[in-house]
Amino acid sequence: MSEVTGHKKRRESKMGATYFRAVGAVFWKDALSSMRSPEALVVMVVFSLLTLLIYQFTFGLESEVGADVGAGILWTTMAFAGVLGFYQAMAGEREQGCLDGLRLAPLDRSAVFFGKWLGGLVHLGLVASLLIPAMAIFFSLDLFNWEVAVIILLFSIGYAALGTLLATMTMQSGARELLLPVLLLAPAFPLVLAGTQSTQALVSGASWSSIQAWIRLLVACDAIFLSVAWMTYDRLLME
Amino acid sequence: MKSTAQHEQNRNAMHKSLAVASAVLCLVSLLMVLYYAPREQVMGDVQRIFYFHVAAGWVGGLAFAVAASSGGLYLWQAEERYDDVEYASIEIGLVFTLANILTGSIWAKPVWNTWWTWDPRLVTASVMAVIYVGYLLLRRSLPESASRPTITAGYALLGFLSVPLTFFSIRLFRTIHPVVFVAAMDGLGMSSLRGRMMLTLLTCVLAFSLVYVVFLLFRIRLLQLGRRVRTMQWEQYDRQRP
Amino acid sequence: MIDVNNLEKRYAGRVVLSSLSLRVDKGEGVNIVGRNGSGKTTLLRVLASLVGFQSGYVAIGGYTLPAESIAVRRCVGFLSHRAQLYTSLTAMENLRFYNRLYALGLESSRLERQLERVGLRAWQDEQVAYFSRGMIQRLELARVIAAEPDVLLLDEPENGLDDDGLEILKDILGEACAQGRVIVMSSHRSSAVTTDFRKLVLESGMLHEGRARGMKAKVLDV
Repeated sequence: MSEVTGHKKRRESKMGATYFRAVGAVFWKDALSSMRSPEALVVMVVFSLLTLLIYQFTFGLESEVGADVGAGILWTTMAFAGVLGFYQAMAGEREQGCLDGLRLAPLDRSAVFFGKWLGGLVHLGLVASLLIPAMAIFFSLDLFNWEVAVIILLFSIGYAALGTLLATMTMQSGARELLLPVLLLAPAFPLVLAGTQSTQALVSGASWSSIQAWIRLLVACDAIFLSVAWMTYDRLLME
Repeated sequence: MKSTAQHEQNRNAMHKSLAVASAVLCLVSLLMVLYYAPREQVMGDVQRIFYFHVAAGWVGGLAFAVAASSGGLYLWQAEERYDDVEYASIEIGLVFTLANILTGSIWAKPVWNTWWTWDPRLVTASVMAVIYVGYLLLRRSLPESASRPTITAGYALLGFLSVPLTFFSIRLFRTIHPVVFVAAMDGLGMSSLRGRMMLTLLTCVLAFSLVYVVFLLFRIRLLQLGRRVRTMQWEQYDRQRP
Repeated sequence: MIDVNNLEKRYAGRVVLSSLSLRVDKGEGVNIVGRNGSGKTTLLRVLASLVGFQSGYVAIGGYTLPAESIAVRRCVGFLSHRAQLYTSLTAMENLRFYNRLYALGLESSRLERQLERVGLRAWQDEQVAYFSRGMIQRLELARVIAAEPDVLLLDEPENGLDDDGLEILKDILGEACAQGRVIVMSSHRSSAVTTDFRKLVLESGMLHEGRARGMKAKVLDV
């Protein structure tokens, strides 16, 4: 019965590459799905702009804001708009009951996490690329520099890890839409604080080296959240 | 060979004696706080709440650590008792953490004329309380299934690990934006406590820890009994089906 | 190929499978029947390593559960009664996704042939959202057999299939048996496509051969 065993041997020899290919497959599948139904993206754009508008009205802001207010606006909007994206990550699976298909993947299923995490990163990147110009237009805040980009990247790494992890955890829950923001924002506290403070310092003229403590904190958060995700995701995905 | 009934009796007896011991210790610590501990020079009698405030904070943190460790153990080896300890610990820890925040607030008002302050420990305790509440919300909203304990264990671990990160982030914030009265608060750190104050504090901490253990044991037993009832209900239902 | 001994599975304190034993050899097909709620789906999910169990011995293709679950997942193809398909993707894209996720390494032509096999070649570039129930079931079949698994676990595979679809299913099952694969499927009625499969009844958490003693005939026709 060589027909029956032949395939197994072929698969085993490609173990290392299969993990990354699985990550890529999940990422690409999610990307394709979002591109075909772009409502989520539209909602995110509208929500972000609406949030900026609300800040402007409620705080009576002029067209120029100080570093502290500007940083606060940027990062709270990032945090809230980001939450929207994480629903998408797992909502698609749950609605169509596709979890079994992912669970049956014959490898360490943290690959599924990383595929979705990458999707989360891209989503946050899109939010940021919308917000930075918007902040310049509405509040005359110039955030177009590589330091801010690095901070956004570091924040997104940790935030996307938390978001994907928690979206998976709340998948079976009846109240998941309500729960996700509550569960996400508390552990994300250090990320948001670090992002806000470092951006504020930069805009006020501080040098890159002077905000190293915040950068280190961001990196520590990222490392811890990613490690927890990597170690627990396989178990989390199980029924 | 002891029967299970005998085992249960012994266990109940031990729980009861622990409960009595904790009640006695609580009474002792209350008396110590009110009469034995010296009057603090700067703040006066309102400082006495500090003993319960710190003790509650300590137990709140301990409970979370126990819950997270239990969660970690559950992720490693899926045994029901780890899940029980984790759930019960979070429930009890939340109460102590809220007590910590409340007593801290009550203490702050007469001393600094503010109900709230950006003190690292206070903010961290609040974030921790939110994470606790999140755990309970999550748990209640999940149907009872094989994956519920896994999910809550993951959340407990994640939540617990984020607490020191929160603490450090606020402390960093504080070094950049220091506030005058934070120095005064730090002045009441453990290092500056004199003999009688230290003894009172330790007694309170011990009393609260014992209360925590007692509540934990009783709560776990309740969870186990609940499970047993449910199993019996299912058995009866299955028997009644034609 | 499949060796189960004294399996016990409980859900929230309720016993679903108890002292369950099963042995299926290469080239054999088994049809498990039972009432709704008897545990057929649970049994299949345990075999597919999707669900854990309290005690017992379970080995698929020589690999034990839960220790070697990755190896088990590699030999098993599982058809759930909820289709594992993404509605905004086309039939071909769905197959390609699973091809990459499961590291099957199949070329597009191979995937196209699978679609041909289940009669869906003409719809390969259509989004699954527009598929009928029967077409979805066929696509699911294609997805499962594309991997050429040693063990096929099919949960009510006849659901939604029309006569042509049932013919296709029968062909696929026959071919699989001839190639030495193992098939365990479930249905809640006696099946038209599996007349030469061994029939087992799942009742009270255990498997019995053919009709259980004392069971009324009409119960099986639920």
